[in-house]
Amino acid sequence: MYAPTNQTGPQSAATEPPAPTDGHPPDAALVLLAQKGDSQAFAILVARHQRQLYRLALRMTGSEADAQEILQESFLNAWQKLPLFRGDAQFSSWLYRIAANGALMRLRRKRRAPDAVSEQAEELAGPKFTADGQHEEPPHSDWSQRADEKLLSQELGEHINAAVRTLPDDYRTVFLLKDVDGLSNEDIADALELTVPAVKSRLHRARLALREQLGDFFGG
Amino acid sequence: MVELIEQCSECVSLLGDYLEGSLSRERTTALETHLSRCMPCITFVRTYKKTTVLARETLAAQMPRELVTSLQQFLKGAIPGFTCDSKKGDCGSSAQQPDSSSDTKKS
Ligand SMILES: [Zn+2]
Repeated sequence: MYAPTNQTGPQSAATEPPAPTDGHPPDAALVLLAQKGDSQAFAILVARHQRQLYRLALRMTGSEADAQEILQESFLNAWQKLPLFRGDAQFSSWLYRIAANGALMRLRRKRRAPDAVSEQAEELAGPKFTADGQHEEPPHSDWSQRADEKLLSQELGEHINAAVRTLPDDYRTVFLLKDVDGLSNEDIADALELTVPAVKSRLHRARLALREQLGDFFGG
Repeated sequence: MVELIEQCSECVSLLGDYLEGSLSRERTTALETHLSRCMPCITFVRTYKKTTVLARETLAAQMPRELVTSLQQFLKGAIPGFTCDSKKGDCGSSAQQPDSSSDTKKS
């Protein structure tokens, strides 16, 4: 049976996952059981991680149908490779990595000249500064307050959607995974094979570009 | 002695780390000092943060219920003894057969 592992182990104190809220043991304990063939323990892991994995697959491919297949492949893959999983990494990161690889393979099969991305990024909008680094057009208009009134209006929703779609692929993916889905920088870096600083820089630039577009929407 | 931030562009470039709390203590102080006297940057921070909030509120993706069910059925078919929830032991009693390549009709 499940050993109630209360140990907030020394292995990776900085990235220790939060205690599970589903009433089941933490990942590490379930993984040990699943590695011995306990498919019920694995089912709990699936239930626990499927939503985040779905978001990752959806964000990377932009397709619900692809996300569905990636999820199926990834979990089956994870089950089959589970004996190879070593407890020195977090299970969730390992899982993200499997799903991200599935998504990347799918994307490569489908389309996409990967080097188009960096060029596109040069055109990303952002704030303008004068030569001495002051805001060129001081953002007087503080639409952050007005946004509350308009909140979730359909028009705004469509505008945000359209704005996000204009971002280069990997900027959009990083932004969605981090700011919308709440993944950690480290997990995103792992999944997308980027460094953490690269994740942060894409995130920041994506936010700046979106902020400009929202400013336009609010007439700022 | 804290190195001051004179340029708004520098202030903006540090925002990501600042809001995440990963900026050093010194830089944080410098940035907050700049913010305390630069109205355009205060507005910038507000709208920068709001961008994230609005995106989260409009774009949050929920895993569709049918997808949860089809995944469970797929795994049930592929992994012996896989039951979806040990508490309920129910995989969503849908009539449709688990089909390994289950292509649901989605828009
Ligand atoms: Zn300033």
